[in-house]
Amino acid sequence: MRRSLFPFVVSLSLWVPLSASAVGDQDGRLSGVITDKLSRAPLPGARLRISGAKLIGGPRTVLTDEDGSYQIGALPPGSYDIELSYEGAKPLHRKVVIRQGESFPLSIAWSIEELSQATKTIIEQRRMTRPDTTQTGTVLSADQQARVATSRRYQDIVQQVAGVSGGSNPNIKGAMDAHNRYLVDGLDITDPVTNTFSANINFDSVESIEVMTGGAEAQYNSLGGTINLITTAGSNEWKINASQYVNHEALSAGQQFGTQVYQGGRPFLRLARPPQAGYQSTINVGGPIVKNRLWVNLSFEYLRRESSQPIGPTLGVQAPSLRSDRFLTRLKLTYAPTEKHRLQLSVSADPAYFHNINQDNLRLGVAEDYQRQGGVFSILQWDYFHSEKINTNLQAGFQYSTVDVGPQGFFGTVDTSAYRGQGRFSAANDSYDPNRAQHYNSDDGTYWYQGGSLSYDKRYTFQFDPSVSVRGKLLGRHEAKFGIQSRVTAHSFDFSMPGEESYNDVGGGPGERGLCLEEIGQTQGCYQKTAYPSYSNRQIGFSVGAFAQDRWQITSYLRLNPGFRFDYGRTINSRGEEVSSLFGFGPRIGLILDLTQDGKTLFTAYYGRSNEVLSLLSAAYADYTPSATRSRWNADKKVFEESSTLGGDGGFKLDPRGTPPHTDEVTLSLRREVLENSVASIDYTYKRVGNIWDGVEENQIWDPTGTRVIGYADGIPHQVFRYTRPDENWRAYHGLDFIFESRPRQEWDLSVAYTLSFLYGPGAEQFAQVSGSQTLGQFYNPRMWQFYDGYLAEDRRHNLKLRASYSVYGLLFGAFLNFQSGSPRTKRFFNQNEGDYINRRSPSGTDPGSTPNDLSAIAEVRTPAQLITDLRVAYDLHSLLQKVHLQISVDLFNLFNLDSPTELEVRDVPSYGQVRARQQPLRLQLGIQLLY
Amino acid sequence: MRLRPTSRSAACSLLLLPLLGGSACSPYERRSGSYSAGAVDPIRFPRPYLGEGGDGKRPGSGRFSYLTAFSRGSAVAYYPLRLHGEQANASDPLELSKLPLPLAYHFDPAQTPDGQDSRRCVPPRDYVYDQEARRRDALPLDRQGNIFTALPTESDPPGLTTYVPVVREVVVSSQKNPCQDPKSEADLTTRVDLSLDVVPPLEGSVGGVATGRPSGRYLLWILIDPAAEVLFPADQLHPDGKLDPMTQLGPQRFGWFNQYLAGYLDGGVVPLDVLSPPGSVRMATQRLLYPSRVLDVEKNQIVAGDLGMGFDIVEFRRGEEGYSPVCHVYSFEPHDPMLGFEKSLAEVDPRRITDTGQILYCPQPPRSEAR
Repeated sequence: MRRSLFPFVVSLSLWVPLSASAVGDQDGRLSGVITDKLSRAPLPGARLRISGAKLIGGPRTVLTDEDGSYQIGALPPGSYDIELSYEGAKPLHRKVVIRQGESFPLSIAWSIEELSQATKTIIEQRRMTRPDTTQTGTVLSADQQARVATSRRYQDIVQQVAGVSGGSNPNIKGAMDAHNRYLVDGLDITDPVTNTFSANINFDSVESIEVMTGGAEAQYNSLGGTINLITTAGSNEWKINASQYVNHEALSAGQQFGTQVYQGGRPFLRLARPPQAGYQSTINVGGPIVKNRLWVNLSFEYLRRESSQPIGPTLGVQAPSLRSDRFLTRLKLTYAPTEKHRLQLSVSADPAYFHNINQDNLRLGVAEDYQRQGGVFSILQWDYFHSEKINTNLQAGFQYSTVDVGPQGFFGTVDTSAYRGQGRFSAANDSYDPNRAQHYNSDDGTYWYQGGSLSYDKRYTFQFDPSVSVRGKLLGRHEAKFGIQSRVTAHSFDFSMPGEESYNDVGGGPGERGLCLEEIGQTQGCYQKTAYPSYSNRQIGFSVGAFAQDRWQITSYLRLNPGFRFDYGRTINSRGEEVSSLFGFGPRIGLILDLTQDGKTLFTAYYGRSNEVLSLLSAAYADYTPSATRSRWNADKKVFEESSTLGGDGGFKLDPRGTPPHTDEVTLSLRREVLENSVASIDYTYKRVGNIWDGVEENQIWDPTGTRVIGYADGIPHQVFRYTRPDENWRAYHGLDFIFESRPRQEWDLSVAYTLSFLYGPGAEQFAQVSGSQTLGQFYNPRMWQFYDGYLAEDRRHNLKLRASYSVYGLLFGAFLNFQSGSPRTKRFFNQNEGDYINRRSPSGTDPGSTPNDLSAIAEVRTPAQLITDLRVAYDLHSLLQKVHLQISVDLFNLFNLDSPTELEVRDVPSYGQVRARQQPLRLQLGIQLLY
Repeated sequence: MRLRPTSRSAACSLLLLPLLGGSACSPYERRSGSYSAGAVDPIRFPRPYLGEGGDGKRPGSGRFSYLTAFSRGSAVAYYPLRLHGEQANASDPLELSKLPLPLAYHFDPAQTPDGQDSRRCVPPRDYVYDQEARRRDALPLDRQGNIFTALPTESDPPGLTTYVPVVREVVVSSQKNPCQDPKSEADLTTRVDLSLDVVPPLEGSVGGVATGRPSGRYLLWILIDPAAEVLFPADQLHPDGKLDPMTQLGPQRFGWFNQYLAGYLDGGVVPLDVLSPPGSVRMATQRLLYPSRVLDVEKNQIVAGDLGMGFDIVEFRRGEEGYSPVCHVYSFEPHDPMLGFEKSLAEVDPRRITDTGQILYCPQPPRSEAR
């Protein structure tokens, strides 16, 4: 009867809409075959009992089928005891560690002797070959992360994984940083507008993170990677985890430096060390409200940080420090009323406040900005274990988040202490005037008098994801999952420009003297200004996806993992216009060969397509805004004259239907368990991200060189953007990962990963998310299109990562090393129309060299390579305090105090090529953690 | 160790090609053949070739304003370009034989109206130069721009450059070449879809390459900042100068230098002085005159005249025998500025003409291309 249910569910799944991008695996699996050692015959009816501290509802028991096989799903990651028993024999014991999203292969060949022998216990086993899936990436556990120095943010530790580069919003195997999906306990917290992470989590409440870099099965739908995070649930024992970490500039090396690549510290520059401090206090309390039935985990973190950009070019004034306060709260309830049901409710809040956010040495304190962000999110999950063959999962969640940004002086007080009263700058810089316009001096890239625009930005997400998992037999063994993923999103945006206009001043020379200040007759720098009216708009969108994914074990050494998904998404702007109505079909096919037929040597091949059908970012751009009026300075008449408009009626065009942004990916992988609890692998990935969203300007007619606008297609001097997904907006990635992961014994942890990769193509932009300006994108000026092909800014040729730790007698040594070769930069030249440096004369990743107009002189440009080495030394006083673990830690970041440049000036100005930013200097962090 | 492109490509191929089915790793290797490398960077141009207010660091900041002159009663436009560098300091600035005159490849001059690009090339199928094409394409793809072999380059210190804007013409005959496909001299000498008479490299020369055989004609093709604004003479409606209403461009033309887009002012053929001694190549001039006194209409009073005030007279129009884009400047005493001004050399009393001794380039624009 049960056997016949599988095809029924399969056929049913073809008729009903199935589910989506947020059903992330939060549990692991245990599977295998129990056989007779001598005859190799299967042993049906063997009894497996699994128990562990993470398993709410108590131990679970299954019997092997007539072919000796068994499978236990829905196991929260953690350590488990396995008891295998057979009638008339003494039980056999194993201890295994189940990892999130992975299957632990545990096949046992029993001998008659063993059946009659006494209980045998084996040390804890970890099997990391992932024998039933093509997915690449790894799982980062809280246990591992406690052994190395980290920034204690989930977004940052993802950098430990092969194929991951970039920053807090990582680039995973060549995709943009806005192409990932972030799941927290199943809730898709990917920002519906920016497609970046949208929430912060108390680091100590994170149980594990599955970082999926490729080969994703059909329940995942991400153009880049998936960061699937689960938080700590309670257990049958009350536990407290409290910690305090402290940073201070007194514990850091100074960071003054020269502007040239070859210049390092400045030993004779006596300056007070700017603030560089952090205080992180966390507490997590978890335990049973009702044993085996209702668990709770409550966590809170307060993080205060203060950091400073050291004095440097261009202004040479100590910028006010960036101060932030974060309050991270999380509650998680896990309820198992019966063995067949499991419910989880989690609620988080993450308000945060940031002062002086720019930190770029290009503005004084009066022109700094402020940001407040955060919100709440919650998800309710219901797992129903109908039988050993079928279980269902239902997830319903919502998120509200806000990002409000504006001038520091508008939201708080401005810090002018570094320059006030020194006579270097005019009195206009001494206090904030909300009615004063911002000036940008294009000659040296500095900003004056006013922060940026003022915006109140709110996002809402509702998610509903049902899914069903089915196990059965039909020409082999199947483990299939079907589901529906639905998401409703909304966005509201309120904009205003303090001072109502902003100036772009050119040709007046550097600094404040180069500004266009008509009121005092200083007009040498007058070039262009833009008047921005205030506005508000709202966008909404929804998506629904359906997936089916099977893991089909055809023979003991061959698996086929076919899957597919359909996705449809629609967005609407404030005017009720349809901005996107996209449908995507994503086939997935995986092949897994168990070369040695023991789950230890695997070759996998995979092809898959993911489609992004819902992005409110396009709707936010393709929405009505009142006309902003751009005026150009008439040097003869000494007045500004209106030259063109931005936005307004007819300022944009829509292209709602067609091919959605998508990723095609081919992954080949060879994995081998080379040592006990160790795996070595070689992964090859080809990925092509195509039809990336962007705005194509269609009205301006440029002169043949692309320097001046000489006409308008519709005769009206304004810009018209078509918001679409151009075929030309693509990027391609080739990468080879060599990975070795090992946890041979409890006291050791080792991970080494080397990646050789190539990332290129014209797809550098998605709505200015990389460069920050639409004028820098490839579709702003058709004369520049040809230069947008080359190595992309996120290209890192070589990347070596090493995470290692060893503990003995309570003493812990942990290190993380990350070497990455430099990333490409492209020299930018002056554009007469914009009064800014947006033009190119050579392809992405190059400059034209020192000999103009000579193709052979074009040279590749990259930032220097970087090496980051972080070290943790800790001692656990457990041996003295018994029941309590009290760990004292010392973390050293950038152990060798290297100061490689991380950013260079790329504009064609006299300081071209000079260092704009460097690695953070050696920093020491003290920590104390109590585990009870 | 930093791999050179070739070894990097080899390493890349070795590692990845078996997996990639033969596609190349370096995106730069896809840029091969005769592709456009973008616009010429005028960073090292002498100031006169950047236009008024021009700055080599800010292409497009300069402006070339054609002036109005009169020839036999009709208005003509011309651009006054003063001699620069060594030519300006030479005892005989009209002598070209001691100056390095670059070649310029001129497509189908015999079959193409003066001042227009050849249309004997093959355009893309169904190509129409319309508003969309104008927005999309830097140059029309149904014609072929001429090709230069040298750019203006300022000396260090400034003012000693030997560059002159006169080129030696090499005639190229289109056969079936795709329009705007040839973009460099090196490209031209190796193509088979063009007809070009070449001069082989000198026997025994190391690294010598074949070049086109000069036709014997000299052309005044003044390379300028291709982004600069070039204006037709001002009129009452357009006091700052005007543009072609169709193209929103002035009388400049566009061609190629070493695969880069070049802009130039076309002054036409430079006639040679037939009386120059053997071995000498000397430019022939025409006369350009300006009145020594003019009426300031706003003040209604007589003021001193100068070149470019709107009352200049040139001897010949472009296309006429005797036309030269090189002018010898004279001033003359007008009859009575309050009653009107002379618009023809015939109206000027030859006895009241004074030689200023000044030589300048005075190209008149070719006939505007009709679209």
